[in-house]
Amino acid sequence: MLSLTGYFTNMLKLIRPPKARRDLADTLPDDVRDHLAKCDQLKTAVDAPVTRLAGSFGRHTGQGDIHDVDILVFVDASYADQDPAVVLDDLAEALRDLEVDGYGTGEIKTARKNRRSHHVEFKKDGEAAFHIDVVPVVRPGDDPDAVLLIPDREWVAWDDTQPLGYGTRLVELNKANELKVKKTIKLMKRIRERHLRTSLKRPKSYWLESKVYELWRDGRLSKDASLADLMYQLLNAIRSDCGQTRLAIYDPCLGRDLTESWEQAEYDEFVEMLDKVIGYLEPIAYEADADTAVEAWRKVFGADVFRLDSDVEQETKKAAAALAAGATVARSGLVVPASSGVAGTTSPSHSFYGED
Amino acid sequence: MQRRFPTLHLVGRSPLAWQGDIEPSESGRAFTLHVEIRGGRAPRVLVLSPKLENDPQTGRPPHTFGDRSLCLYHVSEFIWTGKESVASTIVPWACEWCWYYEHWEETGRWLGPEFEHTAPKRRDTRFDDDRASRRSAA
Repeated sequence: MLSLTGYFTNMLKLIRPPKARRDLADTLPDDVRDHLAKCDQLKTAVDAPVTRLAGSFGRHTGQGDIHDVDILVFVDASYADQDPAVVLDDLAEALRDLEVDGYGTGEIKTARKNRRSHHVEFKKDGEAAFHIDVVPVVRPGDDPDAVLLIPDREWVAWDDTQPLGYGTRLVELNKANELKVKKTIKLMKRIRERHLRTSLKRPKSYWLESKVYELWRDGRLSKDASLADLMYQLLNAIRSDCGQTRLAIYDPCLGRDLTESWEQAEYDEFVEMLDKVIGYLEPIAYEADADTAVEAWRKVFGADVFRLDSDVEQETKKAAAALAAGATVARSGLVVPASSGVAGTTSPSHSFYGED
Repeated sequence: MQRRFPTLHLVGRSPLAWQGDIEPSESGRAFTLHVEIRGGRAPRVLVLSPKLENDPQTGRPPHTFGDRSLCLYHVSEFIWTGKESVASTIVPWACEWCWYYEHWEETGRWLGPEFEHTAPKRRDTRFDDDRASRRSAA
């Protein structure tokens, strides 16, 4: 498969959450921490940083214009001996006047699905701009990467969670695989966003992320492959794991089945999507010219993002034309136009050929 | 070779071989080249790293031979006689090849000068072991 690295590199830039949102996400934990420090409604942990960025912003696995920012709040360990509602109610009280520079005071909009956190919405010019999910956790030991306790209002119990531990493992796996793990996670999320109805809530972003993580961890994807080959392998690997009934995807740290709530109709739609996308790529898997390959990938990711920015393309063509007029090769092997005046070996005129 | 391309080091005398890293573009990506001359054959250049990707249409990297050595010129333009300087022909062409390869990976298009494949082919002399000795005998 043609690797088309320029297209993939450019696409990964284009699908990043907007810079303003990334910058905001970076500063929000401090805003929340400073606010909580001034409140006496919530007892926070005294011996640890009180807030941490979590979720896809924390792990840098988000793509597109994400509006959710997840923040962990380390609360006093004594809460774990009480009904989960106690800490959640205290947190709601404490967040009531939370202000973010430029966005005013947030509005708490906690729904049933936020049974473990509080959802605070911020507006700009009357429109919802972003929201944060503030999650209270108790850290039983000294290691924030270890299993934490999270209150569950509906279960009336404290449950295990390991978001920071997973983040650390993901960073390690990503490093060991030439930073390709996070890239494939983002690209898989992009495919879901492009091909599944927005009203379809499942598979959740975190489920897909966990599945991609599992494939890398289990050695079913190779860091030596180009992103083009990897995405083709990845889609096929997920499809081959899909049976008639829902695909079980397990939490990367705790090993729990995450997808129990995946309804059959939703799951069927996901499998159909995989078949459709794999179908776009099959014709270019083993033989294709650049135009055909680019066209197929555009069906997968969208022409709006699978592109070489025209200035990049123009620059490359211009540089190649300048070399064709005469090239000099510097001592390091750097190839420059002869007209550049760089000292080196003048490359004699020649044409590449390639048949035996 | 040392004067023109100090990063390529002599690694063998029989066959005569050089090896080392070059950085063909501003991106700073290094390519490890292996250049060797065996008997009277034309020099053979291999890219040891990075692992070269195949053109899906040919099943091998663009402008390479079946053994994945680089095809840097057409015999109608240049014939190796054993008297040419490797450092002023083969190596700069190999550096150029790497420059174009980098951009081929990005765009899927080979932007370098190419010899028309439809043109009549001349015999490939790379494996003509006795060529040099025949010339000297003549």
